[in-house]
Amino acid sequence: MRNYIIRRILLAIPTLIAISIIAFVIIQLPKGDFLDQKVAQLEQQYGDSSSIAQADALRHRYGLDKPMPERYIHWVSGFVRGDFGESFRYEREVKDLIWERLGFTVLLSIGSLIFTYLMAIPLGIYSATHKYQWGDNALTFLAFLGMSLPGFLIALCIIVLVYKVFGVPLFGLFSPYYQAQVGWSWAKVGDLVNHLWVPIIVISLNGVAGLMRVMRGNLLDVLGEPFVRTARAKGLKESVVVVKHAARIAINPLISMMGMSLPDILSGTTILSIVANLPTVGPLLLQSLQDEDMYLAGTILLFMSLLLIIGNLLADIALAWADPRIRYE
Amino acid sequence: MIRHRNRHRNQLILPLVLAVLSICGCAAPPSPTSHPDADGGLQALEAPPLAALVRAGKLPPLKQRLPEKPLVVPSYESPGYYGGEWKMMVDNPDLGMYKMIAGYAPMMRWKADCSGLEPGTAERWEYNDNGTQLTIHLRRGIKWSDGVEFTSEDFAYWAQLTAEKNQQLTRPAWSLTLGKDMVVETPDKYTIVLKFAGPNWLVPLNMATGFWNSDDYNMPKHYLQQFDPHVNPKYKNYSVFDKKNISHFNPDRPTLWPWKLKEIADGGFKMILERNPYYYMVDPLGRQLPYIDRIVCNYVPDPQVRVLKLLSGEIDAQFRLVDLRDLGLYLDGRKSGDYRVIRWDEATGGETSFLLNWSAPDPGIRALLREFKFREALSLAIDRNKCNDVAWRGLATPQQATISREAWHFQSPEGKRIFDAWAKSFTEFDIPHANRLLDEIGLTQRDSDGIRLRKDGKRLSIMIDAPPQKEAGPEADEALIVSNGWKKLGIDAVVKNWPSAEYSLRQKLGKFEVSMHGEAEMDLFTYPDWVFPIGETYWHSKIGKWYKTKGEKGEAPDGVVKELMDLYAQVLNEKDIEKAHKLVQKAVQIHTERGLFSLGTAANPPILVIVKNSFRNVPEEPRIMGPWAPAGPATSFPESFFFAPPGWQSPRKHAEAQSTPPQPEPPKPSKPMSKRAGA
Amino acid sequence: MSDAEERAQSPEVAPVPFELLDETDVADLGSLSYRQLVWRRFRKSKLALAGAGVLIALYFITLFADFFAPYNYQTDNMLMRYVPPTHIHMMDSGRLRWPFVYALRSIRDPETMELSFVDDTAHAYPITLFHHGDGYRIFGLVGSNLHLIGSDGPFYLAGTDRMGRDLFSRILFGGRVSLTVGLVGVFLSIILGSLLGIVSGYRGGWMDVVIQRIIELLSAFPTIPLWMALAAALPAGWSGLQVYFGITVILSLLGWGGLARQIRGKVLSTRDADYILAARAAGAGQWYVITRHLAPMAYSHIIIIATLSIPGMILGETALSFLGLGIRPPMTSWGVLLEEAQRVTVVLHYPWLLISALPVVVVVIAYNFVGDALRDAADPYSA
Repeated sequence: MRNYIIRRILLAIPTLIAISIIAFVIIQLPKGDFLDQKVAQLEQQYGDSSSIAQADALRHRYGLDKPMPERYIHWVSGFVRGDFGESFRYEREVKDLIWERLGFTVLLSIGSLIFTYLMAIPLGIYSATHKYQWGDNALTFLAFLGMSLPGFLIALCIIVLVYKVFGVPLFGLFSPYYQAQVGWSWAKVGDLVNHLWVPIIVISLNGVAGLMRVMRGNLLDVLGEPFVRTARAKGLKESVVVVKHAARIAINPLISMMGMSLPDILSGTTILSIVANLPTVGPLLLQSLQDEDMYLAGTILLFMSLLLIIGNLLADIALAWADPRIRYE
Repeated sequence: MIRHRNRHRNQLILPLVLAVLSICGCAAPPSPTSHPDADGGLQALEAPPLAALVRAGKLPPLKQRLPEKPLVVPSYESPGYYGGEWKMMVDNPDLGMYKMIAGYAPMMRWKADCSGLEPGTAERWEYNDNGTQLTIHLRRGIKWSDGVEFTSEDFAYWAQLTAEKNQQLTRPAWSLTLGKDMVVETPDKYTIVLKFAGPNWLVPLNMATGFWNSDDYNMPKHYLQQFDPHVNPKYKNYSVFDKKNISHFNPDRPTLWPWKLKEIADGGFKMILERNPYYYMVDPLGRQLPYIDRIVCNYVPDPQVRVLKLLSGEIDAQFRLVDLRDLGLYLDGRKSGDYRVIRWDEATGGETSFLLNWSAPDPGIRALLREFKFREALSLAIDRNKCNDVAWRGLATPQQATISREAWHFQSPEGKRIFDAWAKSFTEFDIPHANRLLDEIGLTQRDSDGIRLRKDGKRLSIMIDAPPQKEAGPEADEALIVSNGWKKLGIDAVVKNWPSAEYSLRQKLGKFEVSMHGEAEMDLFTYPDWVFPIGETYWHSKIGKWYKTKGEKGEAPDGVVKELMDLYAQVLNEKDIEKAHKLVQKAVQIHTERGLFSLGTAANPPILVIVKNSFRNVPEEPRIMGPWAPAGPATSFPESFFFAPPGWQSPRKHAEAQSTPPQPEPPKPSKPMSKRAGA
Repeated sequence: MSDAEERAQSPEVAPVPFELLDETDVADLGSLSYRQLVWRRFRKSKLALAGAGVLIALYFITLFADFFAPYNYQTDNMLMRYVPPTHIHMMDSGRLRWPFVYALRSIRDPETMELSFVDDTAHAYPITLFHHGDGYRIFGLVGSNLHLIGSDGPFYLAGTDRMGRDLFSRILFGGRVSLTVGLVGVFLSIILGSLLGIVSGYRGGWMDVVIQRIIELLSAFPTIPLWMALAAALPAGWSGLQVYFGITVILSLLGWGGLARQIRGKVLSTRDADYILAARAAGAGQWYVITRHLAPMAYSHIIIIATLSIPGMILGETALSFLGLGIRPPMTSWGVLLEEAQRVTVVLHYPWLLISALPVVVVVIAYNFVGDALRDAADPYSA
């Protein structure tokens, strides 16, 4: 097991390197660079000659006048020192920008993941054990609805509706009063929870629906197996049969799918944050892509991939722990 | 052991509980205090927190903090109460929006009606006879926000640094005369003498323009010197210096603003600014401004979130970033949000203008665009009423592309007449006539789709550059209307959206055929490009390049374009401001008769200002917000805005209701200055 | 994708015993071929049949959108902006009449300057079948102006947008892009995935290793962010059609990995089967073996995965266009329509624009039904 983990970690390194190269190249494909925007603004303010000089000075400072491989090396060489470059738009260190948002990104993602599984498993079990009754049908219908509604649309509708009904705008992660407060208090945590449930539900909608269907399908499969019949014949209560025996086996594939859900959840968080103005990494990414803020965008992509890799590794470990049949070499 | 069934029940409860909690929670978050302190009343000469500090010996008394002759700011409604926190939104972490409101501390200021200049941190200024020397007299005793005196040394330091190659500041274009730097002398602490290589009458105007110029030349020498590698050998280069000099990022940097930056929180999403105890302005009763304790700028990049924040009454006062198209929403929400909607005048011409590239890349299009009749036909095919209707809800004025009607070049009767002629030129919507014009210039062949053929036999196809879909406001609508109109002339007009960087680049390099621009300028002396083709902008990018590089690159002007350029050279040398205005008018007449380089659709749309009902001293009549250069609303003295206690009545309305003589008005535009001197 | 997922994926779709793929009769399943068996089981699910019917209908309608839509998607009418869905009346002063619509009169609110519309009962226009409306060219060749349904009066089944364009027509035209993007994208994924999967499994060696590493690399990228980055990189000068194909390629890029992996797994398990060896011994070339024996085995698998990936692609295009990175105007797609609806003003004042979400929902649900049922039908071990 330990060897397996070490091997995975070692394998991740070249993967990350390759990802960093790809990300860096892609981000700079559009013509021009960030400074073109800035120059236009500077010209408006200062008049031409000085703005050109300023722009050239800035270009030199950011290394934009160097060829791409050099810029890439410049960027990557900073990793060791923990320096991921500077953002042009925000004029701050990339690592600071990401660090501030990372917390909420992870919080939302993990929260959604947990919520998804907490909702999907029981609902899937219920659906399977009441197959084709009205409960199952209703859940099936809702599942399909959940899988097909675009999250960003739901988000805006919910936010506006809550505003209309309760008179309270429910975006961002804190209400203005607590936003102004520096430091944490129980009340502030409560405020956070208040605001978190909309994003988590919206992000999870897709996942819950899909996962619930899978759980249902799996459980139905397992319930058809011979050993279940044996258990029933032995006289065990139905609930014990379902929960203690069948569900435990049916869950396994779901746990392994946790790794697969991670990209979706990260993506869902991204889109939703953009709509609902949440301080996560998502809106930062969109802005930086549109700006060609290359160090910022590249680092974000890198971090997201890192999160995925870590998540997959954890999922595999979880699976090994859950299913005694699986052994890694 | 997992008990699924039970957990299933429990888990349905959890979301329900959360939902209920949140509903209860939603109703209850305490609202932040926006009400002033009880003893911030009219007796106090300074803000109570400051008074407390003075009593504790931590702050010098008021008289020592103010300059000898503070700037007196008239109150729009009444002298105000101290206290409160002003929440506003910005759309960029560089605090541009904030600086437009309260980041304006120049030596001479634009007047709110853009009719001229008035004293700022300088008391007065005068030129010598031939315009080669400008003497500025600073107010005595202005202090930076940390208490150190603001003197001519600071300006001299800035001037010296702009010559320094290895750091970010560069000499602004206005300080160069005939290509040479200006010379800065400081005979004493409060006098600055600027010497130019030739007559340069525009310097005070430029120093007053926008927040960016004063933000640059107001350098706190005593603070920044410690990072200057020439002074402090600890630093090898200017990189730390440059970082410390950024006014919107460094709370330690002393400032002359009414509120100084205290803290950047929430990952750059919230900027908190606090009252500057050494601010140099007072109200008519001699009480030190600003009244409001603190400003919180929320960085909100998403427009829809901004809409919701405004509707919910979270924002105390918002100037700009309020979309006119949401007017209905804002009017509906006034009661529940407890705010009022004020209409100011955007005071801009050319909303939107369609720039016809004088140097279009395709030779066939280029030749056509240089034909006056072709441009005339294009202009006549624009349905300006429809543009106004769609983009501005009929609230703007359909007209040709001009600069602001309120510009001081056109305030004399003759000037007004010339402006009106310009605004009305070729604005009729007349498709048949336009078609006839095109026939007259020989574009009579058409292909099977009805599209005209050019002289070289190709389809007459014109591309209209448009900004990205997501950012486009009224331009998107107007582009569609215009292209539809041109299609009726048998022109294959195509609208293409470009990403922003590409869009501006194409304009700057002159690679487009037709592009768009909104918001023309107010003052042609500081921003001549709209009328005089000397910059790499608008319809004359390549011509402008020729001008800037003294003929090395770009395209040489000829004909009417050259006439305009020659006129500008005369303006630069003109000492008498009235004569300078006349030269501008002459150029405008050229545009009216032989120009049509940009085709306009509408002008002077209203701009919405949303203000909470307790937030007072905000001018209610349509003040000029304008393009950024004349620095609105800073010129309407936001230092004098205040939060009224509950039950407070405005004496202004009160006075009108009782038909007693109204409160003293803000100063009306004085007669135009005859010399380029101030105060 | 992790190793565990690979394991997990296999039990999801049970391996199809390749004996059943043979076209000849299989004794214990009667005289029906595999395909017929699958169809039979598929038919049992009413939902799937309904879904399939809806999809076929939608594809057909959007293909001939010019005819089915009352208006062209670009026809704008500045006098009819933000008109709510038209009421279709059948009663006129108590008497039943052929369905008709009233003309609209606009009233401008003096304060907000907003237009609102009321029926002008003085002028009624019947709804006509085979109406002569906006002109169009069938596939760019023949001209016509025949529309299935329309009226001389305002006939906006889903209301109009901010340019006075009929939303219903725009939804139909937008469907062309949204529906086909998924198909083309999936098609590309399939080709790439099965080809590389088969090659990878059959040839083995360094080719296998390289392909596997590439797949791992791609799967380590978070989907939406990668799509965003690629879409932002599409050159600004590209025409609408070029952007469209660019987007489909981007969407398909992340999809082929999973398919390739599974195909490879299958190939690996059957590579050394007897009948393959026999074919090789008989002199069959590599290519012959691949196309005649290995590929057909994977068909059902491929179809199922394809059907289940299409909704993901459709939602992906919607998301990209919504973010402004996808389809560019004047081309329209459901994503573009949704982006136009993403305003507070719309949700509060012009909610009919949100109808654009409906076709997305319907199509995705339909695809899910069909895919689900296909998977159940193809799997002989399911309950």
